[in-house]
Amino acid sequence: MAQTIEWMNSPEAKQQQAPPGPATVDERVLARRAREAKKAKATAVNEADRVSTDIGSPLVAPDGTPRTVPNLGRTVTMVGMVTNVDVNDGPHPKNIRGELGKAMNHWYTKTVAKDPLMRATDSSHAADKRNFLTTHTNATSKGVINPKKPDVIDPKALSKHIKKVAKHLGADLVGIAAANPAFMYASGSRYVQDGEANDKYQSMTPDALAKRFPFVIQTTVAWDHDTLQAHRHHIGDMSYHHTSMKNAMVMKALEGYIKEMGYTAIRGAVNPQGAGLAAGLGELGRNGMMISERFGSRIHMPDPILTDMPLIADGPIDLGVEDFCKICRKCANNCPTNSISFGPKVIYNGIQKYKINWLTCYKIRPYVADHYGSCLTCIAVCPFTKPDAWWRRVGGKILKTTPIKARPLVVRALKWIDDTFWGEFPSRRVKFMGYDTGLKVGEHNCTDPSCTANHKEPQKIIEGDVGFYAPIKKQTDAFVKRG
Amino acid sequence: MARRSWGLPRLRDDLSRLRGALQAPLRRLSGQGDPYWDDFINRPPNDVRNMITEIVAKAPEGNIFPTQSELHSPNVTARHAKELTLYLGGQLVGIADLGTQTPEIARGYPYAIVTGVRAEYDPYMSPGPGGQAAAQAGQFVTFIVASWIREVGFRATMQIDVPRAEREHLAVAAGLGKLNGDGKLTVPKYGTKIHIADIIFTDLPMEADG
Repeated sequence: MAQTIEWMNSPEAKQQQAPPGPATVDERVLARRAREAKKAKATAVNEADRVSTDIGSPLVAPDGTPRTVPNLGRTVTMVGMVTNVDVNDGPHPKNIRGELGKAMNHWYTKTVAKDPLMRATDSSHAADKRNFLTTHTNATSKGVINPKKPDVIDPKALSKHIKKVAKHLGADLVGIAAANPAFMYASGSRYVQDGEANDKYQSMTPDALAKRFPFVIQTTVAWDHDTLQAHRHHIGDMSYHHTSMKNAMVMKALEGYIKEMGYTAIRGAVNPQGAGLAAGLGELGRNGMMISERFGSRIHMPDPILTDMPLIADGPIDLGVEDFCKICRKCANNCPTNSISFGPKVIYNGIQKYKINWLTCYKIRPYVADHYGSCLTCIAVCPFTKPDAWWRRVGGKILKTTPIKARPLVVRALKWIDDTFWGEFPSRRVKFMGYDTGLKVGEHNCTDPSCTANHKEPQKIIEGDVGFYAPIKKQTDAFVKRG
Repeated sequence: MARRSWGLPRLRDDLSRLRGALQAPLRRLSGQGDPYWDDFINRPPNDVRNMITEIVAKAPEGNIFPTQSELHSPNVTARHAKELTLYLGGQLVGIADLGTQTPEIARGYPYAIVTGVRAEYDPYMSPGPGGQAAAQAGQFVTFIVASWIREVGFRATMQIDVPRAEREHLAVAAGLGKLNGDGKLTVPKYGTKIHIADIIFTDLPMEADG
């Protein structure tokens, strides 16, 4: 060691060490930024702009295994070879590994939410994760499979039964898809919150897994419409978080019940949106979210169940989302980070669909963490996202039953109605548990006239039904480059 | 506790409110013609670790957040706790003043939040996963509400095993309903088809119901 230090301090060594790199601070910063930009470009930034020249054949896996092409409806088409995605290549795992930069990593792994409701309902910003319900419900199942199967095994009756069971346990929509390796995660990767997927099938390839377990059960719980109107606010977050927790609980209960019936139930092996599309829960919109018949965009797909229970698979549905998204573009107009494309569909990983730029969508979060966790603007403004009321059903029915060629006319009429009655940029005032979107972002005053507590800030009375929202796109001007 | 709604009238929501008590008997018919339904409701589990109710009941509760949040006055805090409970899926909620109860019932806490969820099947009589659905729905609500109170900075627990008779006694104290001739809890909207979920014992300053 002493010799090394002596050598490093010698004039020869200093001459040899003359660094070719940046000499001033500014240049160093520039070099770091260039490195980060290169890294980000390699991961995701321009994914949507990539031109797929050689997309391969959808009928073979990258390793040469023959595959069947899944029917995912009109909105998503498999046109080329699909490489199975590693679950650890999602935004959150990348961020945890620090691949999205320091600011993102610190926000995700080292910050505690200032708001008590967020600490209790948002896993990444909880002060104590034991206070977050999904920590317990998403942990690896320890229960064993019942050795006794039912006396009568009738796939039709079992399919009907399992759907009834899911609804009885709290799900709003249930569907069964035929398992297909194209929408399964790469072998060896499982999405399990506590990282302990201890099933013996983990090393199987997606193709072998789909053969061994032919069905996927997907359910969802709809978000509350009224609180969702407070998008970009903690109230909207509550709409998102509470159903996320409920979804996890329902799926865990269903997984346990399938095991009690004597069948295997595997979690974390199937892409939730692929399963939802194939099971007919909805179609994929321009905003990258599933759009369902009853609830519009206000659903998200939980981790589905892959099972060997003999069932009958449902098929994809046609709600007219394909025709609507082509014309509407309301989500793209309202997106504060320009993450939603105005253009046509792109081919990415052999799949033709509308692709959002997830990186810019994700990167807004550390900057707005005190005001909201999830933006949800594209979901709240989507014309399909409405209360499950008779007039909404009539509109959906008209669109659905119109012949495809005549649908653009119906879409334009429905879009005009939506813009007229709900506004091109909806900004409702919502009150929930003392939170009020009438307050400007950053203010924490009490607006409840019946409150007699001595608050630090003077009580504020706000009139009217219009909520305060930061001017569109203003929040993100600082860090989002516009095209 | 009704939240604001906008747009055209929601006929379906209004009808569902009117249906009220009729809902439970109608929904019970859903199991008819299903050869697996009876097992789903009544067969005890082969392995209790497959039951979500067991997983949540045994889940360790988190710490109390060290800094208390700024509170509203007790009447408003009580309203917020009730609003959250109903939002998460509880059908009835009330706050019992434990100062008027015996020390054995109060267990050192000043208030109890009592949540009622509609129960097609009585969880005490139906040990199957379907029979426990009301208990599961109740746990979902009470776990999150108790967690929220701990994050606000006050003591709260939903994991004290309270016998059924005591739960129903507290439900009466919280003004949810009355005990009928058989000693069972009866509530105006759902009759006896109500399950009192795990009681949340807390010291969050609230205005109790009578």
